[in-house]
Amino acid sequence: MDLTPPPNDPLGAAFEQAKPTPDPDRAQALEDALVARLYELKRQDQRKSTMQASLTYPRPTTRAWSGFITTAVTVAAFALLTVALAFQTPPPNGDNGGYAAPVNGDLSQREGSPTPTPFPMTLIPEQGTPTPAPFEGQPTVPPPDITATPIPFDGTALQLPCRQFEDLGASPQTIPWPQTAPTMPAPCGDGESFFILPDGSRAIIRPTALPFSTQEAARPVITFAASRLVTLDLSAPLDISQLSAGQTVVLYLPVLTSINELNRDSIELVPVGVGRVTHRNPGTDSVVILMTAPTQVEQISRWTDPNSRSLIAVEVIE
Amino acid sequence: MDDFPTQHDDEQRLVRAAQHDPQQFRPVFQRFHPRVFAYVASRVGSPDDAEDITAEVFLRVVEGLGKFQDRGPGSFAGWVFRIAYHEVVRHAGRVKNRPAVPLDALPDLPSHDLSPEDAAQQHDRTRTVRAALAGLTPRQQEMVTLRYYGGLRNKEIADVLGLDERTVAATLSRALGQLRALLTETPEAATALQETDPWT
Repeated sequence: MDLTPPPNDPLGAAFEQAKPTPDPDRAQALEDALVARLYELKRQDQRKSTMQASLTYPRPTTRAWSGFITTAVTVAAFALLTVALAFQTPPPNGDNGGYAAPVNGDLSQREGSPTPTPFPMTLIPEQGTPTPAPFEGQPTVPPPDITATPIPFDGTALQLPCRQFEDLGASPQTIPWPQTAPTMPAPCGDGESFFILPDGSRAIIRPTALPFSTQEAARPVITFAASRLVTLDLSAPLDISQLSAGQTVVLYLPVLTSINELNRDSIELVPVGVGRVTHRNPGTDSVVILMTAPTQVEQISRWTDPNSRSLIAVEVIE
Repeated sequence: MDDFPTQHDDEQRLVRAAQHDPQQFRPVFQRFHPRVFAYVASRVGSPDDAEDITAEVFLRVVEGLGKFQDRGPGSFAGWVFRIAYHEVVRHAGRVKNRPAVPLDALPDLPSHDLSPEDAAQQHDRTRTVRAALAGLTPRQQEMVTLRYYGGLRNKEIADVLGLDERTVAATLSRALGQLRALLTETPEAATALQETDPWT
């Protein structure tokens, strides 16, 4: 559309000549950002459509019932297998699931506590809970590895493994909270997350242990209610000993845009969903939390900065 | 002959394409961004504020693009500039406690990619036009900038400001007459201006 004033409109011509023009570089940057935002909105719409489709699924026909029952049986079998595996014999002493023992002066385990066991939080979706389908071309995270025997949940495991640290010759570490030293080690690689356990300790977890799909390694697609933001007071963390099998918990996951934010006294968190602590998963010494009420992501952009690191906190509500 | 319907068809096609393919938003952006920026810049004065507000406008456009429904010629432009108008009003509310700056005392907004000589000429033209605009009422200023910087028709201006189209036409007519009178007070403008206004 040619908006140049007609030649016989001198007033328009005068305005046209005095017209301010935008900075082309900023305009280009804005254009790119807006297109990226449109893609993001489109993805969110697709996710919502998928969720809605699964929630408003029409009454199944006989054939559909057949598929439904097959799926249900498969899910039930998986559940039984999970439970069976969970009650196997504990691994021999010293076997900590393949994770190296802690080292490192600054970041050593706390005095007086038993030898920490690697403690990744493994979140698995509850059976029957609708899970958003991954986008086309989006890699799906493999299910968590639940292969070991349960051991009593004593609430002492504060140490979390970080595979990439191990690969680099480093070791899992326990970092007292709040961490104030500026010498905090570099976090794990992209996609690996920090977790705050209820006692305030920091943890690192691999994205493959998370139940959600990822678009990219560092971009967890997580379902949560966007409407509720809470602030967790990191100076008064929860006591991990309160966490035991059978409890219902709310999981919170904020994003750190800078590692320096770990030094703040408090940080904004977003609830990921409601889950139930089922048991400790000894093979990797993780706690299994059954997600019972995941909801839809609305503010994924808040956490999709590849340079960000995620924290998770657990609030016991039952 | 008014090519408004043809322009609308073109605009409608672009907007529909953008609603389905994010990449197709680029031509829409390239068509409207200079207009929105010029309008916003003429209303707020500060180049940085103008850039920020324009970005905010387009962010809102993008957020609402999927739900936008075409309601005839000019409806998209009207929608975009309605957002821009409200953002400018919001900005004015945010800065109302700051000391007021007369319109003709606002800093010049440089046009980019101009030679120093052209920039100097534009500087003079900007000052002349801005001084003339400052002689209008705020409502008239709004309409004139929407007309000449936003490139809107009377109907679209009426949509943006929530007014009747005839009211806009009457107000604009008076405003343009005043502008001609004000601009012809300067010798260089007097030689340039004529008495016609084919955009009405």
